[in-house]
Amino acid sequence: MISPQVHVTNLDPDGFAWLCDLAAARQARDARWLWVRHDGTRVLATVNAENAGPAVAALRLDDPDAATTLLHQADVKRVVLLDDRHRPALGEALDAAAAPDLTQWSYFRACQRAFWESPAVLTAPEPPADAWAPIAGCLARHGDLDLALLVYDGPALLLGLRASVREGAVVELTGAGQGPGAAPTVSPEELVQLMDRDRERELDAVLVATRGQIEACFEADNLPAAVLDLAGEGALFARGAELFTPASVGA
Amino acid sequence: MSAIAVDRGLLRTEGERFRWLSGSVHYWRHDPRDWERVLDGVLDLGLNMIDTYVPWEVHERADGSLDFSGALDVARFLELAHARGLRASIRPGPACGAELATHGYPRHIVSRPECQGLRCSGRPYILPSASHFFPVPSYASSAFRAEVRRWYTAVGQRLAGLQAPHGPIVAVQVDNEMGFFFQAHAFALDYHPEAIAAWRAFVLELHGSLDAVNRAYGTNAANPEGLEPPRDGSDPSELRRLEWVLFREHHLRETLSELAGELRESGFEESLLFHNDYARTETPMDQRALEAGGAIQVAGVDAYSSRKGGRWITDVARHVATTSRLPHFPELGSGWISLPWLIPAGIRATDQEMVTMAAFLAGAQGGNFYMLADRDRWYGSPLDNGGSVREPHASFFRRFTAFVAEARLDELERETAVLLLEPRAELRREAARAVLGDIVPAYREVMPFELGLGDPGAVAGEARRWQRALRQVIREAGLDCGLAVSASPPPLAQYAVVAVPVLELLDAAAVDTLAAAAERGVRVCAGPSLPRADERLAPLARAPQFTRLHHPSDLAAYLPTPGVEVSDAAVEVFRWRGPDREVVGLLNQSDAEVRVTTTVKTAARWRALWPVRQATPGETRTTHDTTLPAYGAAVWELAA
Repeated sequence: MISPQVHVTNLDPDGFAWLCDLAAARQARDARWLWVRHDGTRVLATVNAENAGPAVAALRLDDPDAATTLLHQADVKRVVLLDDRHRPALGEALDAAAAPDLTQWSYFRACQRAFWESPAVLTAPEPPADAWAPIAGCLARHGDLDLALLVYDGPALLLGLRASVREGAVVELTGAGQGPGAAPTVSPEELVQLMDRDRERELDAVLVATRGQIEACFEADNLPAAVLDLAGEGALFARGAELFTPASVGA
Repeated sequence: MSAIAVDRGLLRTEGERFRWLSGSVHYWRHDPRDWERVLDGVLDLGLNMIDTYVPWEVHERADGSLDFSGALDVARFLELAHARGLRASIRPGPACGAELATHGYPRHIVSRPECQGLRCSGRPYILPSASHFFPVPSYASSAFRAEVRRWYTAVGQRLAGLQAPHGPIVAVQVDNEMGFFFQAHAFALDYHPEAIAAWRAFVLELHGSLDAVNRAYGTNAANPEGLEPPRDGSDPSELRRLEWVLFREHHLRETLSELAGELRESGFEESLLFHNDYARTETPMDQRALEAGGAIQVAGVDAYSSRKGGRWITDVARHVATTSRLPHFPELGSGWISLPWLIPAGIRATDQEMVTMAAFLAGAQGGNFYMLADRDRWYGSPLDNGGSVREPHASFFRRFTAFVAEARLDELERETAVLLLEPRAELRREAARAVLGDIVPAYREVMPFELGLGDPGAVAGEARRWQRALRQVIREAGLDCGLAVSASPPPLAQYAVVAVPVLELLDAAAVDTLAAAAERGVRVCAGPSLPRADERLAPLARAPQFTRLHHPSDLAAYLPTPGVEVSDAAVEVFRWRGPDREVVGLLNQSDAEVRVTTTVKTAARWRALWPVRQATPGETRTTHDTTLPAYGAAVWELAA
C-alpha cells in the first residue's frame, strides 16, 4: 500500500502536525493493554496490571479461555498472554515474515499476523482484523489514482493532502498546493481546481471533511472503516465518491 | 592533530572562536538549482553552519560503483556553502537513518550474511526503516568494516580537501546514533561470530586467564572458543550477564574509536570528530567515557520533543553540559518525520521555541537544527524544499540567533551546586535481567509488543525509581543541577552536594572519586543503601563515608538555597554567573499562563533578553514580576 520509494514533501506544517497528533493519541490509547508473560505454570511478568493484581494471581494458565476470563475481570480493552514455551517458534515466524520482496507495509502486516497467530500468544477479544486490508485491496484494484483529503475547521482549511497511487501503492504524498500566502478560507472547489491545474492528471477522488469528523474517525476502533463511512455521506465528496463506498471497497 | 579546537563551549580555528549553530540540509534531496537559495536561507536565519549526511546508500550503486554527479555533487554543494562564509559538518556514516530505505547502508552490502548483525537466537536482526526494512550490519564483522573503509577512503578523496581553512568542513560525524540499532535490550545484539570473539577477548583480559573466567562464571571451557556469551537474563551467572552489558559499552567505544581512526586515515585529520546518540544516556551509552577515552572528541545527544517535553529537554541538556567538553545537540528537533505510520508526532513552531530555549538555558552552547530545510519524509522546517522561508518558524530562528549572540552564555558559568549521578552499575544489573531478546522489535508498528514484558529497563525498577525521586526533590527545591553517570563521574569541584542512588552496587570509578570528594567536604549522599560492591560484584574493601538517605526526601535537608527564587513551581529557573553580569532565565513548563515573581539576593539592573530585548536597563531591584505564556520563556541580563 505504501511504496518503498514513497516521496513525502511540501506538507503544510500545522495541518500535518494536527494529523500526527491524532495518530499519536491513537497509538497511546492502544498501548494500555494488559500483558502477562508466563511459562504455563507461573506468571513471569505483567504490564499494565495495576488494577488487575488479584485477577492475574488467580489466573489458571492451563485454561484455554484464560485471556477471556481475565478480560472480564480487568478493566482493559485487551488482554495478551505470552507463553514463553512457544517463544522460539514466535521468533522463527517473525523471521520468516521478512521476505525481501515485501514492502514495509506488507512486512508490518506479516509480522502482526505472525504475532497474533503464534501459539505463544493468547488474546481476548479476538485478534484485531487487518483494518487496512480493504483499503490496500481497493488501491490495488484501481492501480493508479490521485486522491485528496481536505479538512476544514469552520471556513478555514486545516489540512490539505494529496496522494498519488501508482500500481496500487502510494508513491507521493504532498500538501494540497495552497502554499504560503494562500487565503486560509479557500474553498474546496478552488483547491480542487488548483490541484487539477498543477498536475497533468486530474484528481480521481476528493474527500472533504470537517475537523470533528476526522477526529471522530481517529477515535473509532476501525479507523479506515470510519473514514469509509464518511463516503456514505456522498455530499462530502467533491469527486469520486463511488470509488470509496464501503461496498466498492469490499469492507 | 585537529585544526579545530574546543574553546570554552565554542569552536576555534585560526584564532577565531565561533558557536556551533548549524542546520541540516540534505543536498541530494533538493534540486541543485535550489542549493544556493537554500544556503542563502540558512544565512537569513542567522546560522553559521550547515550539516549534511553524505549517505553511502545514495552514492553507491548496486554494482559497487560510486556516483558524485548532479544532485550528488556534494563537493560543489559544500563549495557553495564556503563561498557564503558558512562552515559545515558532514556525516559520512556508515549509518545515517535520515528516513532512507536502508539507513544509509547499501542494500547489497547488508544483504551479505557475513556482514549481518545477529540476535541471541543467531538470526539476523531485521530493522524497519522509514520505508522498507533491512538486516542490520554487524560492526564487529571484518567484511562489513572493510566495506566501510572503502567508503571512507572514497569520501576522503573527494572531501578531505574541503576541510577548513581550505573549505567549509570543520566537523565530521563518526557514525550516527550507533548503539545496537535502538536496542537498549542487552541481549538483542550482537552475536555475530566476530562480536563473540571480541567478547571472549574482553572477558579474558578482565579476568586475566581462562581459568579465572571459568571460576568466575562457573564454567569449564577447555579453550577460549569454548566460552559462550549469555543470551538471556535467565543465564545463571549474574557476573557473566553483567560483563556482557559492560562489553556492549566497551564494544561501542572501541568501534567508534576505530572508525574515528579510519576517518583520520582517510584524510579527515583537521576536523573535529563527533558522535551523537539519540536521547539515550543509559547503557550502552556513556558520553563522557567516549570523550575521556579519546574514542572521539565530542559526544553529543540528539533530542526531539514537543513543548510538553520541556523538562525532559532541560535534563538532556544538563547531562550534555555536565559530561561533554562541547555541550551541544548534534540534532535538535526542527520539524519531524512525515510518515505518520511510523512514530507520529505533531511538532509546530511553538514547540521549536520551547525546546530550543530549554536546551540552551539548561546548558547547551551549540546545536544543529534537524532539519533546517524541508525534504522528502520531513515536515515543519523553517525553510521549505525550495529554500523559501516559512513563518512563523523562520522568525523564531532570527530572534534566537540574535539572542544567543547577545546573551554570550559561553562567558558565564551556570550555577549548579548539586550533581545527581545515574547509578550505572545498578542499571546495568537491571539491564542484565532482560529476556525475550530474540523477538523484541525496534518499533511498535512491527507487532504490538509490550517492551516491559521482557526488558526490565522499560519498567522502572527500584534504582530507577530512586533516581527519579531524587531528581524530583532537587527540582522541588528550585535548584538547577548537573547530571552525569556514575561510571564516569565529572570533576566535582563545583558541587556542594552529590547524590547517587545505590541499592548495593556502585562503579569503582565513582567509589574512589566520591570518597575523595567527601573527604574534601563535598556532601555525598547515597540511598537507600551504601555501596557494598562494585560494578563487577567485587566487595568494596571498606564502606565509603557517604551520607545515607533512607528516603529520597531526606536529600532536601542537605540541599543549598537557590540563588534565584521564583514564586511558581511550574517555572524552572536558570542562573548563569560571570564576574560583572549574570543571566537569569525562566521556563514555564505548564500549559497555562503564569504570573511569576523572580527574586535575587543582590539588587541589580534587569535587562530583558527574551522575548523582547530592551535597549535601556531599568532601575536597580531584587525582584521582577512577569507573565509567562504557556510553555514560554523569559530571560534577563542582570548587572550592577
